Amino acid sequence: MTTSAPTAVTTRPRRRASREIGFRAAFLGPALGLLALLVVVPLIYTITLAVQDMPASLRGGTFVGLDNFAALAGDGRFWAATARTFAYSLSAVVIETVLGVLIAVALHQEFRSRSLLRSLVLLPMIATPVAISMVWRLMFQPQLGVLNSILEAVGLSPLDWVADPALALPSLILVDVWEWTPLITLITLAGLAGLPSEPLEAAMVDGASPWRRFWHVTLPMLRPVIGVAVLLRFIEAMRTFDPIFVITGGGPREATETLNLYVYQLAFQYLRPSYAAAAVIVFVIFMVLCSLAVVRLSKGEKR
Amino acid sequence: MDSNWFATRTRRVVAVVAAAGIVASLAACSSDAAPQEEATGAFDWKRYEGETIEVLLNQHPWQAAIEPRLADFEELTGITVNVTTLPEDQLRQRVQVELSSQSTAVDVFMSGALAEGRLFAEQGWYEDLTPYVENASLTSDEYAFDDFASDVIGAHEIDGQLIGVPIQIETNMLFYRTDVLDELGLEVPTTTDELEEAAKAITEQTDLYGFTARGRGAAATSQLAPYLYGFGSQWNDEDGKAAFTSAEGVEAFEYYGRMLREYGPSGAVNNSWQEVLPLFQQGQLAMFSDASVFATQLLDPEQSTVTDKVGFAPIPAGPEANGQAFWGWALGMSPFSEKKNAAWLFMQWASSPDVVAELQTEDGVAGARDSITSFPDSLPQAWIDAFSASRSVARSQHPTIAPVPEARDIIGNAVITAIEGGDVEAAVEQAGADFDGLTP
Repeated sequence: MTTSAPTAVTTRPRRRASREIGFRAAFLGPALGLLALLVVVPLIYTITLAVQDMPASLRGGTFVGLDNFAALAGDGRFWAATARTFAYSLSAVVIETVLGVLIAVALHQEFRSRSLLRSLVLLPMIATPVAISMVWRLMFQPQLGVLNSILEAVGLSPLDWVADPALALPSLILVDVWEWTPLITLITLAGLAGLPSEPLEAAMVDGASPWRRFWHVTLPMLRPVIGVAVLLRFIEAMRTFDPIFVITGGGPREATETLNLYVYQLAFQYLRPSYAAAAVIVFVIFMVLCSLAVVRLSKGEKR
Repeated sequence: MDSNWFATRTRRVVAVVAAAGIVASLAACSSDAAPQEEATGAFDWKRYEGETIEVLLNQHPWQAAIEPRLADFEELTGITVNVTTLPEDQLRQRVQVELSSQSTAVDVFMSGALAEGRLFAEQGWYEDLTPYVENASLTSDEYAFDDFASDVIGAHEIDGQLIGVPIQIETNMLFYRTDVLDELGLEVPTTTDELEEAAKAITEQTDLYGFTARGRGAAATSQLAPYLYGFGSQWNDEDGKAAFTSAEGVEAFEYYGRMLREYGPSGAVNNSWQEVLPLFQQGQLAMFSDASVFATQLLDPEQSTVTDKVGFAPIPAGPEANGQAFWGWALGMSPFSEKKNAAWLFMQWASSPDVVAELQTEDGVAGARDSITSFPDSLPQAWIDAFSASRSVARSQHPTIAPVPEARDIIGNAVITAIEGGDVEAAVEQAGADFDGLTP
């Protein structure tokens, strides 16, 4: 009997805890289940595909272990595509972040027709990706495209844009910057709207110049918001498909072939699902590592 | 694309599991009879009245011509046809996903069998049509299968199986500006040397580009084909090994590259027909070679500023041969269809002498039947002459190995080197080695 009292005391929180777990399970269960169905099942299937030599009919594959991954390791085209994917994503996201934040700060000021300008800035993001890619493809065309007309109008010599192997990737980065800078602007604007005004007012009282107020007060406060925007953009940039597929198809030669384009070729043109699956898995690992790195960077600088 | 990939995978898993279940349950009770053997007695269009078939089509002049006529088929047979039309890349993806999941949701699909036929056949993605053609209960006496051009049918026979019925045919053709050639006193080029002389003269004496064609890697290979044949080479030998690496082959690559580099617009390596056509339509280009089907766009006043000045000729003969090339679309039947006989009736109707004649004489969509030679008045006699002359000796555009898409990427790289004026011999040799690596 004397021992029953303490047990009664300890069971109560335990019961409460188990009830809480029940609640959590009830709320989280469906979401987690859906996540498992949508992410884990296909991932496991992709892994099983990657360790076989499955033909496109998806029948009669045999287990080959890590052969596909070993082949990838020695596949120059794969590594070149990987390097290109990073070059593309990094350059695009850096330019977009700088431009996007500057535009957001400009649009945060009070002035006439601000809301009109704000909607205009968002336009590229709203348009259908494939449709605007077709427009860009025509604009890049050296003889008929408007870009060379502009260059010639201001007295510069025309360029071959995406037909020039050295310019092709930068040209596609230009399209990405045009299309996705608005996303950074949008998120930064939301961040700016939520900032407390006291620190800025204090800085003003202290006589800080507008530039110093921006650099030492606004920007540090915005860092977490910008961090999220950069992370989102970076993941998206690595997976870019539509504009590259439509504008260059990965060419000239493989000058603009990113991992996503290569995987598409493997899966849907060459009908090599197992090899494509192996490439996808490595691609996903790259993306997870990069995302972790970006998260660490945006957190680390805060300290 | 990444999420698409996963979505595709999920659909496949679900579909595969479902299909496996269906197959297992069917195997338990079916009598193992091939569907075409169920049909006996006299041929009857109405035999499968009330059935509904699913057809996947490519956005194409043939599809545009056949869709308004589907009501005729539905009236003739009582079969309902549900058509889904997609652009070429999306069509290929859709067909592959449906077939690899053994889906019963597709009965008939438009297929570029001359390019992807062997690759698809390896996966078991085509129903062999021979038993259907040979079954008099399923195929009308009026079908006249022997009337199909034998070379085209031959290109659709793989390992003794008929993988598709040809529905449309096009050749590589030379398009030129009649006024420009007249002004400079040039004859219509009939040899590759004359073509180069004309291109040179035009480029030097006018503001126009003398000549261009597709330079965009893989897309360019189908356009290089007639020149390759004309220089006395071919893509591969009977064993599927690279034959374009011969001295004649290298010469053809050099010729094609030089023509585009010296007499055409810059940036040709990114040009497919989407870029080349507007250059001609807007009067900046004097000559180009591409598919015969584009005549319609060149003659359409809404798209073209040179409608009354377009000339047509077969691809000029090379030093070794009159190298002409053709391409065509076919209809294939899914081996997983549950309505194969109804599907065959549709394929038969769509490729029947009557329908092919209608499409060719009214819409100008050339069919693959020898007996049908007339075209609508909207197509100039020069086009008809060029098409007929080219068609009579044309060979298929593509290598006759299974991994054609991969082969085209490989060859395309050598084409780009040729256009850029690099070391063509080394590039072609490299392409040959890669090409040989594709097949065991």
